[in-house]
Amino acid sequence: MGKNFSRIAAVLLAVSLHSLAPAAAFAYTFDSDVPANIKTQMLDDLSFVGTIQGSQASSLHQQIFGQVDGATYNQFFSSRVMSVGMNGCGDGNAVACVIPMEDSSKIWLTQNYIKFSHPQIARLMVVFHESRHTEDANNNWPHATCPTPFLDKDGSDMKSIWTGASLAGEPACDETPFGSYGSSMIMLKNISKFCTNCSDKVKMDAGIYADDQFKRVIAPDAIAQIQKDLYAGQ
Amino acid sequence: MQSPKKFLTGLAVVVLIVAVVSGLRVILNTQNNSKPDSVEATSPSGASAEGAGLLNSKAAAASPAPVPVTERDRQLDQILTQILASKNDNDKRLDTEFKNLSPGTKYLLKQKYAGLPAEARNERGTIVFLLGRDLANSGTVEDFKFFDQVGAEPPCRSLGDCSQETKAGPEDSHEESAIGVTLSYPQQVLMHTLQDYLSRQQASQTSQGGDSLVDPALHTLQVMAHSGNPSITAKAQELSNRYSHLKQ
Repeated sequence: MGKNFSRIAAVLLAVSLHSLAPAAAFAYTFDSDVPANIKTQMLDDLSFVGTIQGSQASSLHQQIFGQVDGATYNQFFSSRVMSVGMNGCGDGNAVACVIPMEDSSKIWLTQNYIKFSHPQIARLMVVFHESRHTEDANNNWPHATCPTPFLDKDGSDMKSIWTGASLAGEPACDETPFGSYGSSMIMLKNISKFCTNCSDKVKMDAGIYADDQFKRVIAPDAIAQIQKDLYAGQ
Repeated sequence: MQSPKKFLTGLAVVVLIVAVVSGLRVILNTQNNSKPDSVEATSPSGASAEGAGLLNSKAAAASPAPVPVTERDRQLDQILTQILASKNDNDKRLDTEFKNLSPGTKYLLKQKYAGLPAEARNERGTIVFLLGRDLANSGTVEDFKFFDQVGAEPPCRSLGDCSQETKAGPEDSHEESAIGVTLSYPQQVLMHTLQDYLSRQQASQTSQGGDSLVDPALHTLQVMAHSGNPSITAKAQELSNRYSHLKQ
């Protein structure tokens, strides 16, 4: 009798603790045609983001996301993305895209999400970049056209480091720190600087990808804001 | 009176023999614990071990000295295989297991790099990261020979097939930053490693007089500056200029 009572009590305790646990972090749904391995990888990546803890956050990061904190990132993503599907996204080398005219709260993934060997933080950068494009209230944060000529800090023509083609005139820049390029690089730079439970590699990767993406912010006042926020003293 | 003396002498001899035997056992046990289970100097193909499989690098022809590989080295190699397969870059073992690398572990890391396809950008970059992070602890000129080879690799043209040019799709300019960095990821990591190493040397030079590995590090930057990889050359030249005053 006593043993049975103990067992029942243990089960009740377990059930109670389970019900006290936070609600499922991932509110979005996956289309049935999303391959299991892609779904698993995305959930693994977002689970990792959900574990992040930070010692502090920059001012711009606080304005866009809040603290450097996994729950904050999950909330940011889950409040914007309602579903995940598969799409060719132009049949090129893209990993993900948002097609607002079709469904502005949906992220489309491509097979490249697992086919290509991106570091984990690069996959997340793209996914969070795309999640910013779901915001109808901000006109989906459209990109600005890169200026012509589009020169780097040394006065050289800014070219795709991949194809070598000039980026001048391409819709691949931002004029604000709050757009998709700006917000995702601010997220990564904060992870690089302030994450307290990330591996050395994750922090290094976050810095490398953030620094490169920063080059896509073109308005002088936006550049100055980000420099003051994240690169002061460097 | 001679009998006690003989007895004592005999006892002393026995004690001495026991001590010598015990000492030998201790030495043998110690050697067995760290005894390499193999000594590897060449790759399975018979090519230079350190350079096996690397791309068109003249340095790959150099024959490294035989490297002892212990059970622990092989264990670490297996751990890294698991981590890379998991695609979890935040695996804590990257920070707990891969520090103060032994020559055998470094040898196996370089072997693993050589055995990976060029398209394994994250995996290759992870190995460069592990070797580079440990430079201050275990760095050798041999490590920089390996870095020279990494820095001299031809540009990867496509994440699906490094040897093939692929036409960019309409969405690709949107993700060009991520794609571009990943294409050159091993070299980006190497650049980060060299910058970190040289900046530390610069900071410590006034107090400690610098480090004998500064020149190999500057040499690797020069290799990268002439690699023909447009995403790398300018930055490598910039760093080379910045730290050239450290040359010894």
